[in-house]
Amino acid sequence: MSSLQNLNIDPNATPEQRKQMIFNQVKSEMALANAQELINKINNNCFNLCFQNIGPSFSNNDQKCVTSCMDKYMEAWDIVSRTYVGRVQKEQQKF
Amino acid sequence: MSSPDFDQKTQEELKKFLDAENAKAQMQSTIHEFTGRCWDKCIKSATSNNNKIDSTEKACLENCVNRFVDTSMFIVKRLQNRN
Repeated sequence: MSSLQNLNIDPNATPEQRKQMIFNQVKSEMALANAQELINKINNNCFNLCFQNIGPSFSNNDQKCVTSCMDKYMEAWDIVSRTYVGRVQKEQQKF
Repeated sequence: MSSPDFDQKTQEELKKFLDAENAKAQMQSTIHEFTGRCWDKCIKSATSNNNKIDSTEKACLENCVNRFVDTSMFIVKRLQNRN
């Protein structure tokens, strides 16, 4: 959310419109930050998984491994997300 | 965020919105962290005929999240009981 100070807001907009612009900009920056974090994590984790031995080229097999790893990582993110959110809700019900 | 152009009600609305977005960001950051940690423990291979998480891996990921939460709750509880 570092670029929030550069909020691109039309000075002629009504307060209601400006409010909506802030909502939209914050939401899109959040989505972008989340996607960047996911790409970073996929890059690191799939590099580690697929290149335990480093060869002289980005081989066909390397590409297949990275492809499969990407799909699996995103699925893992989904599973972890659902499990964690479910657990948090369960713990909150105890109080 | 105390723009004089926004009335009281709008300012409160903005604050509420930002608090909620902050909570969401924190949640997502925790999920990223857990995914990385549990991926290391649970996923040992990725091959072309195996683009999906299998049932063993899925169970491992779910257990990993739950055991990590258990661990952190256990530690807090044990520290509280020392006094």
